Amino acid sequence: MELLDSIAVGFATALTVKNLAFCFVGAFVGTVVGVLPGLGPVATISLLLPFSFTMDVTSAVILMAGIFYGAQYGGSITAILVRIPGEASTVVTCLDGYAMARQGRAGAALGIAAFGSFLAGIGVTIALFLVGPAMSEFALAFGPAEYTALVLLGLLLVTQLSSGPQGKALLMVAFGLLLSTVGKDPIYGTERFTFGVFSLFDGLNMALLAMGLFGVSELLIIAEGGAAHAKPVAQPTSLRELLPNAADWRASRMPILRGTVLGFFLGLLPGGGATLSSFSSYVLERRLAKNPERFGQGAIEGVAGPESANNAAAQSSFVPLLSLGIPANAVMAVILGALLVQGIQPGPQLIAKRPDLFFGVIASMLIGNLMLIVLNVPLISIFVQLLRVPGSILAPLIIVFCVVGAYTLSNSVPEVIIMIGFGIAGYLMRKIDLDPAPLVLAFVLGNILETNFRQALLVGRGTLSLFHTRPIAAGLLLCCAALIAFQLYQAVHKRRSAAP
Amino acid sequence: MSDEAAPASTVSRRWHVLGFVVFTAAGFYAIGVALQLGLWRQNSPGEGLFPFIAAVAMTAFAVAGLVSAWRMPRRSAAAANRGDLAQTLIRVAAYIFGLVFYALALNPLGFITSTIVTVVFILRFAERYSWPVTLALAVGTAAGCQILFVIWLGAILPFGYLWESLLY
Repeated sequence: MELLDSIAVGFATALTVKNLAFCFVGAFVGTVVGVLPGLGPVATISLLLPFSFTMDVTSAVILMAGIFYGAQYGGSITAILVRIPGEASTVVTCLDGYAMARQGRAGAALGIAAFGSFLAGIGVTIALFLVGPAMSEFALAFGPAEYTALVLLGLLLVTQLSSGPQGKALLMVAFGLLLSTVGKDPIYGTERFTFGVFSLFDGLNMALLAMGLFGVSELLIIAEGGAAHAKPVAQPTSLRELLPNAADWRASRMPILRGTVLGFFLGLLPGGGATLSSFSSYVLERRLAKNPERFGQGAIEGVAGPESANNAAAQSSFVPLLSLGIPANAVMAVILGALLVQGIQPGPQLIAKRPDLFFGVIASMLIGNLMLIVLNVPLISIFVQLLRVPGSILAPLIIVFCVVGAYTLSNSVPEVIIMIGFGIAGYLMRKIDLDPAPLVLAFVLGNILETNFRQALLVGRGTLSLFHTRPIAAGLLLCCAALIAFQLYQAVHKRRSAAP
Repeated sequence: MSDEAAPASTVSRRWHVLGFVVFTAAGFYAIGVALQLGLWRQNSPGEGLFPFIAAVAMTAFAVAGLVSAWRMPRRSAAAANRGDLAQTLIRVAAYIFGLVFYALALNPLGFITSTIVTVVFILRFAERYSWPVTLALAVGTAAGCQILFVIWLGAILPFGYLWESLLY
């Protein structure tokens, strides 16, 4: 009965004309900012922050939530079509989504990304109504040692992402971790690897890194191919042919389900969020696949799972924010700021005091996801027209998007130069078979890993005691050890079977 | 990833070796900086500890990569077409020049002018499109981006201090 009351309160709030309008605007703007590299949801929501102070708080959070999960889908559009991830969480979608587009299956990739996101959104919304408040308490069990162990496990799993040799993926992970240390030290504030460049004092920007390593390096690959490489990719024309077929659905249904469950749980963990869940889902699908070598070459499971996972995580990350007052990521931190300014203190009492806010936002996610699919599926045929444009004409557009995206981050030219530098480095790395995807994830997780590792050492008075005295941390480290042992066994087995 | 693998086969062993040498050198440099920062201070981890661990790991994997690259078979001279390679390098260099010019011209020339000049350079001189097509695409790109970024999304893009000094 209590559950039905919660659902009734939620929908009564979300279905008002005003909140429906804010939900639509949020989903639409989110899709647009997701498509454009550089201008991400954090920047957009930050720009909206002053306006939210004059709005009703529930409407403001519904609008911001719409931008956040809209951006998850929008980011996948450019990742699939031109290999530029609009968001960090869609980096992994580039791998198989872009490969599908090169095979003339961009519509199926975009379709499964849209439907997967939608189904994940619906599943997570229902789960949030049912178990959301209870699940958030589990996140409280995670301290510095647990996060360190979780991120280490994530990084080990990331090395599975690369289709190349494991050693090269590990090199990229180590390089990504090193790049994450550029800027001020998180505890003492000492400058590290800044070379006196002012733009580096606050560290390297994730958007610059991703745009350079993926967008600009792709541009240079197009450039070197000349007319031969610039041939447009043939795509089907009718919407029916563009959408995923029965075989695609059969291949995608379990990845969507697994991605939803994984994204839901990882979204609950502070620092987990959409990026970690999309990478983890990709690794999981590759592990479970009968033919893992298809991954990276246009496997639809490599799009369905991560896209479902990132949308699921984007939505479930509202639980620790609203019920515990813990922001799971930068977007949640900005939304927390909006709530605090309006005098709303998120925490366990919020559900009892403001059920309209908590359940209204959750119900709006269901409606917003429906709006996203209505908005985006008819547009798929327009999006794939982009691939009819020859690469030589698309190239200047990529230049403008990347440069403007990098410039608007802080209206400064050095940021653009840094992005170009990463682009050239990414191009050269790709020439020697070094995959930039593990580097980007290691960069994202580097700060979380360093801060938690050092905090764990501080709490343990300079010893590693926390890692073996806390059961969750010890369990996760055991998983790491098991994974390393398994990989070593696989390597030895492969070498023996290759020997004459 | 299949796309990534294709161009990779065009580079010789020497490029692989050079790449891993750069990573190894960068790793040793980072180890040096991390040691200077300090690994431990007052019973707690110092600011150099994490970079040190990451740099040691990077150096180790880079050295392993270097050894493996050294063992790669040398490609036959016939496989590499020097003419094609020169053409490729010129095109890539033209694009890099276009990118750097665009970045550096944004503030003095402004968004619209620098966008038009960059697109004209790429389409006319790197891609050999005809002048009418080049100019139409350049103006269209600048106008479309102005509408999208400046008018619609409210992004603040430079007007160009050269124009400002001429007009005001």
